[in-house]
Amino acid sequence: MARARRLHGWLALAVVLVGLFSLTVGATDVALGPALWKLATGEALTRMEMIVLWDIRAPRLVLGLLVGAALAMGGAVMQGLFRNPLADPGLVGVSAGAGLGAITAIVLAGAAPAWLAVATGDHLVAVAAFFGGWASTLLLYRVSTRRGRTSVATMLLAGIALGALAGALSGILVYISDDRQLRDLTFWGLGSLGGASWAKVLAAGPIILLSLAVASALGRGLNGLALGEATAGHIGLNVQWVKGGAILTVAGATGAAVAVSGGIGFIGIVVPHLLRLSSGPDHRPLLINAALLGALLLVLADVIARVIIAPAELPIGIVTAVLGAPVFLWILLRQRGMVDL
Amino acid sequence: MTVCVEGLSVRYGARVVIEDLDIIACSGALTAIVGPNGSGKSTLIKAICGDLSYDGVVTLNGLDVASAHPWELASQRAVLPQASTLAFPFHAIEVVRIGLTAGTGGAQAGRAEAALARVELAGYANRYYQELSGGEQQRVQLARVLAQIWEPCTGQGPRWLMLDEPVSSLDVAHQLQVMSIAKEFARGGGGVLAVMHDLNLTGLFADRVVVMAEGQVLAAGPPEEVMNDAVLSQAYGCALRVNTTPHGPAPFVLPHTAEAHAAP
Ligand SMILES: Nc1ncnc2c1ncn2[C@@H]1O[C@H](COP(=O)(O)OP(=O)(O)OP(=O)(O)O)[C@@H](O)[C@H]1O
Ligand SMILES: [Mg+2]
Repeated sequence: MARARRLHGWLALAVVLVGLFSLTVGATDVALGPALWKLATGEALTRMEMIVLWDIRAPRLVLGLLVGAALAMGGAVMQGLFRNPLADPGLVGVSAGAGLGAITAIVLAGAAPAWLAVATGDHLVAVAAFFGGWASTLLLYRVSTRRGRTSVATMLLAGIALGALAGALSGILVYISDDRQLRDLTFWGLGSLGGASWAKVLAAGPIILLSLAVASALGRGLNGLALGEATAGHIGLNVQWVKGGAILTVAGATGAAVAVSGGIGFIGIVVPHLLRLSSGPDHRPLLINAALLGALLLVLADVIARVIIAPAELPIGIVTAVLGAPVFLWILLRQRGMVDL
Repeated sequence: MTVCVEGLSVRYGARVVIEDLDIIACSGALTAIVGPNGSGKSTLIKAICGDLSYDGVVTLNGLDVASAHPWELASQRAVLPQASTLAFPFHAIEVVRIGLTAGTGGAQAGRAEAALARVELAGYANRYYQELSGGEQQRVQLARVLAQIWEPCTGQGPRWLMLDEPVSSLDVAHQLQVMSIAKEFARGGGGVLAVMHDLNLTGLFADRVVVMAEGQVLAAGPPEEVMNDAVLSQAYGCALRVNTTPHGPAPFVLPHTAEAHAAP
């Protein structure tokens, strides 16, 4: 417990350092040090420095921090809710719905009414992904809630069915798409922070921050759920509030994150796991540490994605999968006895 | 103060498990509920704890269980379920503390440690729960329950221990120890409702016994009255002979008698 608390500070420090480092990395040769010096002394930045640092790298950094925190905290909350260390935010249907929304927007954008294109600007895909994610989560929640009680097991099974359905619909859209659309949606599925802008930060940021704030209050409830739903009620928790809060915050945070960054895997599963191994399963420090470590790792992955084949960049989902999948397998091997249901 | 159950009916789907049942349990006494498998003992405890929807009225210290908030109930009673599970590798002491962090509030420092010591697991605080033996796990859960309502009686009245088979996986020494803890809780002014399968421990420790069969109360009263050949034989469906020790009124039952009767 004390150890997990100490980790808050170390992770926060690491986030700051990696964040500053990420501002120095990129296709163009703009150094951070001189720019900061100019800022400090009140000297004007060159136009180039302004564009690269303020319009390109800074929003990308902030978006990376937000998305990483949202995905990792979402994973931690889902694992607590499903009482299973292998759960991830996809289980509440948000990824399937968001994917379907995004693909629909990419493929059918030409057929969309003009006012929609005007209203969403060039963010139609993000908006469609967000609403797709929310719609499927609400549908799942309805299906698995009877008389004010949500059955987590029903939700899991219904989520599989809904995922298959969304996959089939996506398949139809893929079938009718042309080559350029196919390329777009493939890249969307691989995830990227490449399109980061302050507009996206402003759209996704409040939703993610609000969800994170609510989720960070769920620690006590998720600890109680670890003892089983009945016991959680016996020790005085309102179990339905915990479940509803968990599902809605995860849908909000993950929906917004997926909408602005596409499909980025493994952060949600691997981060809470690493933290549980290093500092125990208590959800109160775990949820906050997960947000910090998720932000840290995603920004780091983005730096790798930007430098590894510079001046081109790799989709970040490839980086997180290449690094995350082996870690995940290693966890499975190590914990074979521990993930029994 | 009492736990008062009036006209309780519980059904699972279309199946009626408890029908029109009345019982009263008073604080300051250990009330044992006995009866065969499937007779509805756990279901009764769950209804009293507010886990199930039911018809009828259940009150705890005058509080209507069906409409009370979870945290109101948690400050007045703690529940040891028949079976417990735990997700994630928590330490034994953390399991006890989870029982403390929610609900009662204002818990004293060192309460969790004291509760573990009470069940003779003081040295087990930093062992992983999953790596404890079945009986040790059951005692950790009991420690969690005790920590939640540490004082048997507060300014607001008595508190209640609801124990569903508290000694089912314990060795004989720890069976006696756990029953003594429950008895002491009752002596301190609290109430205890315990589902029991061991008729001898029931005879030894219970102040009142409720015998259940097929979702109904077959008999209720002090052990020396209720635990007789007729009632127990009818409840369990086998010929049982009740005896008493020379030292006191506590009844005991040996399976040997049923065995002897069954063999021609
Ligand atoms: N969730 C459930 N759904 C349907 N039927 C149930 C459920 N739980 C219990 N029952 C049935 O209700 C009856 C009473 O069960 P209960 O668990 O109360 O018995 P019990 O007296 O505690 O038995 P035991 O001594 O074996 O613990 C049994 O016939 C059982 O099959
Ligand atoms: Mg039972």
